[in-house]
Amino acid sequence: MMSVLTDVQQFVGLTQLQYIVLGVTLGAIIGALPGCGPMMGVTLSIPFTFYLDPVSSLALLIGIYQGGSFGGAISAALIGIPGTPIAAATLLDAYPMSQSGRASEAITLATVASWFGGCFGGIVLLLAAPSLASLALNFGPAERLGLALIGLTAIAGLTTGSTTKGMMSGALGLMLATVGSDPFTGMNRFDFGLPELTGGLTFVSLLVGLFAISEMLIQIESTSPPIRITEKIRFSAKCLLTIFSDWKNYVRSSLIGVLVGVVPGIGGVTSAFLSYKVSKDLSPDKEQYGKGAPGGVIATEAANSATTGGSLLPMLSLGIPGDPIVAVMMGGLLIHGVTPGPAFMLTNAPMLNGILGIFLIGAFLLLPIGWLLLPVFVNILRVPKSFLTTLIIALCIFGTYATNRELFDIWLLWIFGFLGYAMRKSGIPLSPLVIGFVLGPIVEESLRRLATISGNDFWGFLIGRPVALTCFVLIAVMLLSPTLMQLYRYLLRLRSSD
Amino acid sequence: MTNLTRQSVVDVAIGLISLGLGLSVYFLTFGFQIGVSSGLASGMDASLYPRLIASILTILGLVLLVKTLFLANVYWSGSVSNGRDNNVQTGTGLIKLFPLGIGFTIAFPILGYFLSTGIFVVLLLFVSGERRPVLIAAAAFVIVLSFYLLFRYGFNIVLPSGQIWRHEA
Repeated sequence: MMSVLTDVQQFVGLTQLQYIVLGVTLGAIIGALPGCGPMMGVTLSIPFTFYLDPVSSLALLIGIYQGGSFGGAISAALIGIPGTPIAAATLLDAYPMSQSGRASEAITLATVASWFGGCFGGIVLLLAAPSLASLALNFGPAERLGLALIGLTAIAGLTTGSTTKGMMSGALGLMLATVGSDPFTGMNRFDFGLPELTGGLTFVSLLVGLFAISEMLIQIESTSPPIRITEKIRFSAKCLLTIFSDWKNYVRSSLIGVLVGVVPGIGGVTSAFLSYKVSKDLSPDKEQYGKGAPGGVIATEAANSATTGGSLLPMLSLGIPGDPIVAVMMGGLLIHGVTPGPAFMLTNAPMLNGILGIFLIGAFLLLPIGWLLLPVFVNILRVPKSFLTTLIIALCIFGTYATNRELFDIWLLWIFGFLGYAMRKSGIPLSPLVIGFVLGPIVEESLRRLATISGNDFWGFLIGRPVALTCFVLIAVMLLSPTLMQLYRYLLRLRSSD
Repeated sequence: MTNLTRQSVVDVAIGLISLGLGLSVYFLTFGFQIGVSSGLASGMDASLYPRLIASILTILGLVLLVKTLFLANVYWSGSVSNGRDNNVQTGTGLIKLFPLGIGFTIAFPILGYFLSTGIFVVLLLFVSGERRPVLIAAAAFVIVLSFYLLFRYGFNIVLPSGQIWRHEA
């Protein structure tokens, strides 16, 4: 533990602290805006991280992730629209509380629960990441390939909608990652004679276009009425005492959040609804849930904030992002030449400890920052949508331009914006594409090294590698189970209609 | 074959695009075969991995087509809309933003940062629904100036001054 503290002191200076504070503040503000959220915050910040050192850029991104996961609760409580999908479960009780004149209590509870869940997730991350990474030190290309494909398959299979479309999106991401020179032979692939494509597609253009521009296109299409909030919001200090009076709910929900976060492809929405259900089932005031029960707000917010710690665990220790936001953060690290995973842990253990320390500091700062920002949130929600849309689009364009100072990147931004819009409208999830793009080089390198090592006996080689074999069996189960379940339900339907 | 709903038509289109993309990429990869058996790549050449992904895309396209056209009773592929806003006019975002975005990208190096961004921001505020001219002008001024200060002095990025002004000078 002492070495961790020494490493944190070495890597986290005043500059990094400033970026953590800035990240949590920006994240909470962006998260509170309906239609935005942590993904939008992290996406818009990626271009600016090019100008920072790796630790500072991760401090900013982690802060935005933590703040954004909490910010969604503000709009859920005040206007009944979750700023982010992960705050949808918070709305169930926070909004009825606001409607009955308890908006300050709802938002304070959300702040305290997010703070507790974030700190819990941070402590678990601090304890588990080094052990998991040291277990993975013996992993070769077969295991790395298996883990990368598990991450991708889980995201593609578990996201909302059709598994086939999720897989298509992931395959498209892997395909887009092959644009540019081949890492082994240096041969140019899919560059169509354009010198701008020899280095591959710009990650920032792809990311900002897919997520931010497509979201703004949809925002321009919607004609929601302006938001009116008249109530004054104050921090309610008595809500802090719920940590002691309802401690079981806090701990249980945070634990659910961390465990769900570790599993690739599930994420904050599931953890929030799952802990809400558990909290409701175990509560003596079951009938109050959905009508403004404080326990419901605590359960959902503690769980979704703890999920952030859980979802960072596979990325930092195994190099596999289990969540699209974490994939974007990993992309940001790769740009700086830092490849998370067991090897990184071996060569850069102090830096890993610094990153873990940053997470814990960010989680801890959520309470004071949330406290100070409470009156600001109401004013932010009053800003007209047209101004926010314009500001975000301008940020997208100039943030992308700032990456390489190339006009070509702005053209790519529009192309990916159109692609993202078309994918959203046709029900194709975007997350597998981003994860496929980030994992693409790892998958290709591992596969080609594996082909070289195993010669002509690929399956024979896998049998000798139990971890890799388990990964491939799990992938097969994840791919086949939805089809088998659908067939089973169809046969049941046929039987009942007979 | 079943009657096609709007969702099914979309799914058929996605299946066909995936199939077409997969096949096109598959054939494009035949141009990457120089470099076979070089160094670490002796197991797989530069074309094999993209060809593998192209095959997966092709198969997935076929699977979606078969599911939609022939097995619609067995499978349900999820809804197109994410159901988050009932007041959505599909397509208007593209019609409003894309011509503006493309126009800006062309004009940016020619007219320079200040003029192209100023016009772009004013038009963008207008298409986003803002109709108060004083507010539009004030917001455009603030956005253009603050972005200039941020990028020029915060990140040390020289923004284009405009080819036409340089030519005249």
